[in-house]
Amino acid sequence: MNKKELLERIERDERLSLVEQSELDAMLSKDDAQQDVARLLGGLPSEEPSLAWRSRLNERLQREASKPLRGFSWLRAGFIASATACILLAATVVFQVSRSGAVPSVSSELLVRWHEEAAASVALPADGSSMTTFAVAEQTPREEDELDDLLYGGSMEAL
Amino acid sequence: MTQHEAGNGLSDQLLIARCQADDLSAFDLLVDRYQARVFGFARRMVGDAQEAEDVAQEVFVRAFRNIRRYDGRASVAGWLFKIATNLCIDRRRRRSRRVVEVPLEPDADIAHGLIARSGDPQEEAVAKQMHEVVQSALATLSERLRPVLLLHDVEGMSYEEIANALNIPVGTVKSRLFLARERLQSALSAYLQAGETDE
Repeated sequence: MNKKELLERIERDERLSLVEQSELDAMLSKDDAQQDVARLLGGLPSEEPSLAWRSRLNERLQREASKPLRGFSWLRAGFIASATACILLAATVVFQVSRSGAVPSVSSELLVRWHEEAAASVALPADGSSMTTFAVAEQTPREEDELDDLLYGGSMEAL
Repeated sequence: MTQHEAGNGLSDQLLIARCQADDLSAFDLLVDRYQARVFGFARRMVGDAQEAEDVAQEVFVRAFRNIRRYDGRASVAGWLFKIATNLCIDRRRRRSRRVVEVPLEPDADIAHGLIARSGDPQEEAVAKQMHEVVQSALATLSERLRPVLLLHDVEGMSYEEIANALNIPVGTVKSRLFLARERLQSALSAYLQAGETDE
């Protein structure tokens, strides 16, 4: 393949075979016209920016260095955002609970009693007689008794 | 100051490590080492000296901001030229959207910052004129071809370094370099022939 054909294929963005690629390598390093351009560009004089340019750059770099968020990363930003969200969520929950009033305090004994009463109320006697609710209820002090004691200093029956 | 003098023989990697430890003086040495290359590259990419200065400033500021992200996989030169290439292409696109023509004729400011090395006035004049001609010819190349040509033939970077800097395959680097040289030669021939007929 000659140089013109290779040039046309490259201009058309066609894929080169391995042979063509090696021909391209050879032309890049040995073709006179290619080398002339390379030499011409390689011999261009270097250019230095002015001292004023450097002074402005130094000022900008000093400003960048003094920025408080230097080294700020998205990872750190994500961590800070998550922590803030957690704190806000916790504060919201605490605020809501305190607004809705005091949480009713229920003693464990009371809970056990309520459970026993509920279980007894649905228990069916094996002999098919009436429900044993009363029997069970009589074994355990009723909630009303405690309330009566608080209100009247004794059982209602005593009154 | 030349790139070899800057940094007193410290390697790029050592300077980068010191920069990453917040040593601003190490970054100054890196700027000393690469400012001429980055400015020259930007100058040839965008054509306008003032714009090239802006680009070169932005390259170093962005490098400074992102110094901790530099992982050493690419050379420091490749990393800086990658930033510079993206900035130059971006600026040219924005400028073309504003419909401002790129001057193909050499202008009076074309030799901004140019330091002639010979000391001979006649040689300086010839070098300056050649520089202007080459700059005008470079301006005729597309954005795809120009950075490849400059990085290889002016900056002396390898195919692999260029491929890494421009995010293109090595084969594409070679194809573009071949095409760019051919087109630059055609542009130079046309330019020089036009100059001869004018005289």
